[in-house]
Order: sequence, then structure tokens, then C-alpha cells
Amino acid sequence: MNETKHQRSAARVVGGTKIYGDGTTEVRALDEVTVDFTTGQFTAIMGPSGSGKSTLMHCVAGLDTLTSGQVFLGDTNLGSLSERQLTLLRRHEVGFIFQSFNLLPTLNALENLTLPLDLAGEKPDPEWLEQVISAVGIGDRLDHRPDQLSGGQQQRVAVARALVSQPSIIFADEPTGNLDSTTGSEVLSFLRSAVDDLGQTLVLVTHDAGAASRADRVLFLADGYIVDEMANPTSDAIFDKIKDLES
Amino acid sequence: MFRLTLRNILRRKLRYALTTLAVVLGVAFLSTSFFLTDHIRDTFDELANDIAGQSDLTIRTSVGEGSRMNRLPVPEGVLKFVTSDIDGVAAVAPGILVPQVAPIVVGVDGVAAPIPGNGPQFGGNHGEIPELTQTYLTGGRAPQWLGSLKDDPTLIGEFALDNRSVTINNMVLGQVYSVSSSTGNRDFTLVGQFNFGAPDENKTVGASISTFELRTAQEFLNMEGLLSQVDILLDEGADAHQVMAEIQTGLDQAMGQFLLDLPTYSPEIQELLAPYFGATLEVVTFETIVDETQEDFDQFVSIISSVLLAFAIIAVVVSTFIINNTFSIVLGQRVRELALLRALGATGRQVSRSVRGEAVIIGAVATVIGLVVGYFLATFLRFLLVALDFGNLPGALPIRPRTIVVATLVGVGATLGSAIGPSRKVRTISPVAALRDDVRLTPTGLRRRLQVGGLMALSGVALLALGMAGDLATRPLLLSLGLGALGIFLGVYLLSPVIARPIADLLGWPIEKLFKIPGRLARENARRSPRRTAATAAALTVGLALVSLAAVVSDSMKATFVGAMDESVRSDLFIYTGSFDPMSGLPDNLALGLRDLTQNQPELIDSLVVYRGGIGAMSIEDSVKDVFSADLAYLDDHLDLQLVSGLSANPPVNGATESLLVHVDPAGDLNLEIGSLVVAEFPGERSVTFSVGAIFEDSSMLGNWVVDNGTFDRYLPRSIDNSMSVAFNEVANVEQARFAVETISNEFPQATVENSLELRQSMEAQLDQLLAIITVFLGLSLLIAVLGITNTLALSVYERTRELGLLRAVGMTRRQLRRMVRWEAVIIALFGGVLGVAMGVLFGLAAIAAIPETFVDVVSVPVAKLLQYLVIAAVFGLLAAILPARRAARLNVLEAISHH
Repeated sequence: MNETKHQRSAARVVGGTKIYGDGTTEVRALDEVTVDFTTGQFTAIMGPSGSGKSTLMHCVAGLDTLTSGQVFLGDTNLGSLSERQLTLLRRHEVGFIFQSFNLLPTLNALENLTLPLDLAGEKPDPEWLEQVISAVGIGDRLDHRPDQLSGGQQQRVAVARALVSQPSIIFADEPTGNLDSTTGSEVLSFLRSAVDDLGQTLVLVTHDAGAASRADRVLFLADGYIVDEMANPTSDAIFDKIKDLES
Repeated sequence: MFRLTLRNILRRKLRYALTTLAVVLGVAFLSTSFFLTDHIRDTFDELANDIAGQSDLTIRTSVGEGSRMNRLPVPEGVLKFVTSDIDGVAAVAPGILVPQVAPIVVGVDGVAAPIPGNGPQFGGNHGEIPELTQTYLTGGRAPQWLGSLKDDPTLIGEFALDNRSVTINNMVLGQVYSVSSSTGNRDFTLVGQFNFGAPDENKTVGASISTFELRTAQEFLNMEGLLSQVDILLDEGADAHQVMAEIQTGLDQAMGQFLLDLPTYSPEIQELLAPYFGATLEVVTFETIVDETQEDFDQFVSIISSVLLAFAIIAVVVSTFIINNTFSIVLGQRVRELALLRALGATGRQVSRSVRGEAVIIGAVATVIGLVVGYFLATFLRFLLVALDFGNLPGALPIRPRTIVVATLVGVGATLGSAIGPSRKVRTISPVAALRDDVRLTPTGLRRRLQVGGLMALSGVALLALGMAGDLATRPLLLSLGLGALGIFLGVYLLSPVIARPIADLLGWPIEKLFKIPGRLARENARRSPRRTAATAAALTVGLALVSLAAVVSDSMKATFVGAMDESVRSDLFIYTGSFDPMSGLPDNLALGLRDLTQNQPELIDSLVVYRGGIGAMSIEDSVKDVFSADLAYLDDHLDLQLVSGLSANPPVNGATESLLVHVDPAGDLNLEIGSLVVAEFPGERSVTFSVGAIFEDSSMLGNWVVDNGTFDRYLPRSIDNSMSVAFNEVANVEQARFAVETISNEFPQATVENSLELRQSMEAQLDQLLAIITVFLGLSLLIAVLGITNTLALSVYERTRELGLLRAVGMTRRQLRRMVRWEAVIIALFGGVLGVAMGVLFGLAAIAAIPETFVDVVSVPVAKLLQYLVIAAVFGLLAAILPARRAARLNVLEAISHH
């Protein structure tokens, strides 16, 4: 694998704690979590509902802030950034793929794809754009609006959008949750090839053991702690681990 | 189901608050107009009572067909025949009250001028009989007779003034002021101040009243030997009818005696008193006087109430657009929830009833709030009116059951009516919709919309055309124009979604070029739901159409007047009171002085023409006419009336005693040509036979009927000089000639001297001021429109929460987000603005075609002003977006993404 080449960390959390509510209603979504996402690696985060996996992702992505602890994106400490700086950071350094509703209904596929760059007032690198578009295979649908695209096509546009600004890290939150298994598998293949062929760093949050098995490593969260970690996982190994955790 | 309805409202406070606000404003404006006009009407009704004073009976001359304004005075000889010796008569008081009398004060600008009068300015005698007086002294004393003003030209007499005029002009008792009347300006000492109408409250309502001792008043007010009326107080328990019969006998004797005495008077007085040969005296009751006065006031109050009501109706129409739009959007957002109800077993009817229930509750709540707001608004407007010197409007605003009933009907009715369409559609929601993600209310088919909208617009155009082309009376004309405009509005409202997309696209283009992605998204958002954009813009469209209509009409009027003036004015100077009121007056001495100047210095001044107005002074074939008089001998040198035939200076022919100039239209109606005889009635029931001396085309300066000043001297002797024009000698030095005129006119601070350029500027300024007032009033409806845009944007922002979250997640800054919402609002506002201005111009042209040529015959579209309105519309869009944009920018990204 590429681990020797990419020792640099794309993002890391040190002693990350997130507390919702206070007093008797206090919930510790994250409890002293320390984790490192290495550049060029595909990490899956798994865990039951309420385990804190989404919270972890949101905090690393700069969408949410920690109650205590630190988040670094590259060398930048997110805690020291203003709201505006966080927004600009997301624009340039972070790619997002959500479970559904990834695209603006008023813009066509190409416009949705280049949206983060347009917001920054930048022109996409034409070669790179070409490469991304052909990679996700939506070249013939660029002028379609989201309501003219199938669910799978929409998610492929979303993947392309996450790639096109060449961010340091991409977060995908259950990107296949709304898709049938064939289409879902296709999208996962694109994500995998983004890491392998384009050198992207990817963090995938999922329930699905099959999806997680595509990752280089899987983190298991429960009750706000990282309870286990698995390198080069297989579906079965993950499945067993989950059973283990639930018991 | 009802509990659910109530819960629905409470849970969605914000959305319903916005809907409610629209209804509140509509109801508030409506009730304000009721509160205010009721109050003004009450005040004037009371005033009519106060003016009638304490008398039980009043003696005056009868007036035939003509206007009451031109009633003749009563010869003072009646006082010999009507005395308290008559059985049942307790007291008799002579009364004098004539218009155009005012003290002259030096204003803050250091210029002496008659005290500013927004209301009429009267002069009269100070009541001497306590039981019959209307002037209640509160300071100083009653003015005394110090001797004849005529015998001693240097004598400084005494006068008293109403409290309001004393206060607002900072006048001081004991000081000498110059007072102007038709006999000239003369110094008097201010010796007293009083309340008029009631002992403890001054009831002049904007008018000013100067009083003098009776004989002084007769001399100074040109009433020698005359009285305006005689007031009579009856003994308690006296039989009014019997007393009236007895008084009438006395009056007939008095008149007989008066006519016998007449030949012994000097020729001047004889001429002044000539009208009495046909006059009769009458005695009328207090009730008659009050009724007549109320009738007179009512004409004035009706204008105010119609105007206020028209604005209120506009406000209600605009609000209805907004309510309807809000209901459609809110219900669209609640489809899933309503479908869930259906899935749980609610019938379509129940769901639809629940929606209507919501509307009724909102309408009722809004009506109550609207009435309260309306009451405060009316109080505020009253404060403004008083501050603007309209007059004092004392007492509490009356709350009539009618106000509450109409407000409730309109408030609840408009809300319920707006909800009916959406509530019907709600019925068709299938229970399955609860399980789907992307359900929408099926909107009315575009075809149906096109058909209904097209039909409405066409019938609107037809009505408008009927109004323009047809020869309708005023009321049906206004009705057909009004309904036509409303039809076009509704038609365009229904059709506008069709054009909303292309126009929003066009308007958004420069915004996208300028603001890149936020601009692009704003443009897309504005066009994504053309119905919503169109419906939101509709309110602004109505407001701007009205404002543009006013602008086009007033601009054309201005062009007409200015054009007419430029064409018709041939004289060099124009002398008037500074107001274009045909009944305002200048002292006789001014004309005398200028006539002397014309005679003594013909090398400077060629001729002088005096103009007088006689509103409703003459009747022809039982129809009352407004007539002007001028010095016909020189008129053609001063004004070009665009004579079609004849000459203004033509003397009477064919046995007629007077000459008359007629406008072509009435001349055509009555088949008149040069030399035709016209019989007209003047006050005192005297008929005069005129021969037509000229027929003219331009009625913008002197109306349709013009006679010689000599005719007015003989038949309307009490008419006042309204204005004058001076023609210089061709060889005279203009500055020297003007200086000579101003040397004389400067003695009369009430006179304004202007050359044609200055006159034109004054006229334009006055029309601009009128337009400004109308625009401000109509601007109120624009306020509601702004609210409508805010409303829609707030709902759209709510609806697009997830999109906004996504945009923020992928790197849109808050500023970019605000910009996006803001420019969407601007596009919507401009869409409404463009439609509104276009319709306004169309209506303006229709109105111009319908307005008589006297007022408008030149079409002028003020392009710069209309563009300015569009800019204002855009600014209103920006204002409307402030709150929704802020709300959108403050959304929590995570919550927004996971919304729904």
C-alpha cells in the first residue's frame, strides 16, 4: 500500500470531547477521542446510532465544534478559526458527500460540480475537471438538472464535486444509504478509485459492513469512544466485530 | 379537528404572524379611513351647529338656482321692521360675515403676508347681544366704534381675532396690525381675542375670523347699509310658525320701503343695490341653516372620505394578494402533514375545513389587532392634520358599529376568501403522499389560468375602452375605469406567472454578471417558482401601477397647463394671491391704483385686465355655471383664448345688454354662434340677456363662460378681484414698467407679481406638490407590498433550509448567502415594478383620454421619474430581504442539512 509514501496526516483529533446539553440531560457524544487520518488513506467509521460517528465527522470537517480538545486539518487548528475562516476552509480543503440532497435543484450537473470553486470565484483546472468527469462517468449528463438524474447519477455528481476542488480530505456520510445495492457498489468503486488513482484522502461514515470493507482501515465507535480499529478489513471480519460490540 | 386547527396556528407562530400582519395592515388602513372620516364629519356637523349659533330664526335673502355662496346681503332697513316688539321675539341681532378678510403679519421669513390660511378667512361684526353672539371673548375686550373710517383716513380702528389665529401667528393684544379686505388694507388695533362657536373652545376648524364693531365692519367690509343676515332669538314657548309669519310681513314691508328709498341714494350705491329689485327676503329656522351648512360641508368631507376609502380599498386588495400567496405557500409546505391526517382517517372535507378554520381564526385575530392599529393610526393622522394646520379636530375618535362590522367582514372575508382556493386543493391530497418525499400541491392548470386570466384582462381592457371612448357621466365613467383597471390587474395577476420566468431571467442577468454565483442562484431562485414570484410581486405591481398612473397624469396635466400658458399668456405681468383658488381675492384698491398707473403712464403700461371668479354664480336653462369676468375690451391683448370666431371686445348686439364669450363645447351643445342670444339668471333672480361676442377653444385659463367686469358690477356686485394681468407698452423698458407696478402692489402684501416664466414655475411647483402628496399616500400600499416580499422570502428560506445548509457546507459564506437572498428579492421587486410601471402608464393614458381636454390634452410620460420608481422598487426589495437574509445566514449548517 501507499502508507510509506504518505506519512503526513490530513486531519487529526487530539482529546476530542463533545458534550450536548448540561446537567441531567448531558450527553457525551465524543469522549477524549484521539485519532489521525493519514493522507491518501481511506478510513471508514462505523458504530451503532448514537455512537458519535457523525459527530466526529462533523467536528473534523469544521461543521461543528468540540467542547474540548483540538482538531487539526493539515497544520491548521480549527479551534482558532472564525466562522468565516471555517467556511473558506471547507470550500478549499474539505469535500462533502451526503446521504441525500447533495445537489442544488436550480443548478445543472456541471454547475453543481463546480459550485465550491465558483463560490470562491476560481476557475477549475480544465484537465482535472475532465479527468474527474470521465472518472465518474457523467460526461453526457452535465447539462441535466438534478431532478432529471437518477439517484445514482446524483451521487456520482456529488462525488465529482467533492473531488473537483482537490480538497485535503473528503467526508462521505452514508453516501450509499439511499441507493440500491448495485448503484451503491458503483459509487463505492468511484470513491475507492479516487483514493487509489487520484491520491485522495477519504473518510466514510457508514452502517454498512460491505461499504466499510472497501476502506483501508475501519474505526469502531461506541458511546463516544473509539473501541477498536481494523486495518485492511473484510466484510466478515467487520460483521463479526460489530456482533462482538453489540453483545 | 378544531383543536388541531388551533394547535396548527400556535405551533407555526412565525408563518402565521406574517399572514396576520398582512390582514392587520389591510384592516388597519380601512378602519383608519372610517375612524378619521367619521371624526371629520362629526366635527363639521357640530361646526355647522356652532356656526348657526344660538339663533332660532335667521333672516336672509333667498337664493334661486345659483350657489349659496353668491347669496345677496340683507338691507339693514329690516331692523326697523323686525324688532323685539314683535310678539314672541326676545332679541334681534344684525350679523355680518364676509370672506377674504385677514390681518397681515410679518412671517418668520421677514416678509409681510396675510396670516396663512389653509381654511377660509372671514371678517364680520363682533356680536353685541350676549344671547345671540358666536364670539366669546377670552382676552381683551370687544372692538369699539371710534368714528367713521371714511371721514378720517388716518383713523386706526379696532378689531378682535379668533384665538387660533392669534396663537399660531404670535399676535399680541394692543398691537396695531394691517388688515386686508376688498376695500383695501387698513391699520387696526387688536383689542380682543375670542373663541368662536363655543365659550370654552374655538371652533373655527382652520378658518380665521376677524371681528369689528358693526358700523366699522360695514364700512371696512364694503357692506354699508347692508347686513349678511339677521339673527333672532324667540321667547321661550313662542310659536315659531306664527312669529315667522309675522316677521315675513315685516320683511315684505321693509323690502317695499327699501325699493322706494332706493332712487334717493347716490348712483354708485344704486348700482350696488340694483340686484335687490328682484330679490326677496326670507326667514328660516335654525334647522334649515344647520342642514344647509352640513350639506355644504358634506361635499368637502365626502371628497376626503372618498380619497381615504379609495386608499383603504387599495390596501385591502394588496393585502388580499399577500394573504392568498402566503396560504398557498404554507399549505404547500404542509402537504405531507395533511396527507398524514388523511392516512389516519380524516376525510378530504375535514382537512379542507380545518384549513378554512385556520383562515377564520387568523382573520378574526387580525381584524381585532387591525382595528386597534387603525385607531392609533387615525389618532396619529389626526395629530398630523392638526400639526399641518388643517384645523383643530377636538374630541375622541368615534367608534361606530359600522366600522367594526365592515372591518370584520373585510378582515375575515379577505382571509377566508384567500384560503378557499388552497383549501380546495388540499382536498385532493392522497393519503399516499404522506409516504413520499417530494409531494407538491397540484397547482391550477396553466391552461385554465390562461383562459380565466385572459378573459379578465380582456374585459378589463373593454371596460377601460368604454370609459375612454364612451360619453359617460362622471360616476359610471369612474366605475367603468375603476372596474376595468381592477379586471386588468386580476388578469395580469393570473397571467403573470407565464412571463415571470423570462422577465426574472432578463432582470437577473446583470445581477448574475455582477455577483457571480450568489447572483446566479438568486436569479434561479426567482425563476424556479414563477407562480410564487408573480404572486409576491403582485402587491408591488398594484402599488407601483397607481403611483405611475398618478405620475403620468400629473405630468401630462403639467405639460397641458404649461403649454396652455405658454400659448395663451400674452400679458407681461400677472398679479394674484399666490394661490390658484378662483375665489381668493385682492383688494379693490389694488386695481384702482393700477388703473391710475395705466392712465398716468401710458408710455409704461398699455392696459390692465382684472379677473373675477363667480363659482356657480350664473344659471343657464336651470343649470348652474361657473363664470369668470374680465375686461373684455383688452382681453385679447392679455390672453389668447384661441378664438374660433368673433372678438372678445365685441359689444352686445341684437338687443342684448351684455356680451358673453363661450367655449366651443357648450356653444355646440346650445347651438350658439356669434350674435346668438343667451338668457342667464343671476342672484336676486334677475335674468340677463347676453349676446355671444366670441367663441373660443382654450378653456384652461378662464373656464367655459366669460363675461365683462361691467356685467359682474351690475349683476354680481359683491364679487372680488381674483387676479390681474398687465400688458406693457411695447416701447417700455420692462424693468422700469415692472418697478412701477410693484411700487403699487407692494402696498398689498397679499399680492404676488410674477412674469410668465415665474408664473409657470409657481404652477409647476404647485402640481408637483400635489403629486408628492398623492405619491406618499399611495406609498402606504407599497409598505404592504414590502411586507409581502418579506413574507414570501421568509417562507422560501424556510422551505429551502436544506439547500442553504448544503451551500454553507460546501463553502458559501454568510455574506454570499445574504447576497443571494437579497438579490432574489430585488429581482422579484423589479419584476413587480416593471409590470406595475407598464400598467400604470397604460392606465395613465386611459385616464388622460377620459379626462376633459380642459385639464389634459398633452400626453407626457415622465420617463426619468418612472425609472426612479423602479430603483425605489429595487430598494424596497433590498429592505424586504433584510430579515429573511439574516435568518438564512444564521441557520446552523448541521441542523439545516438534516432538516425535514
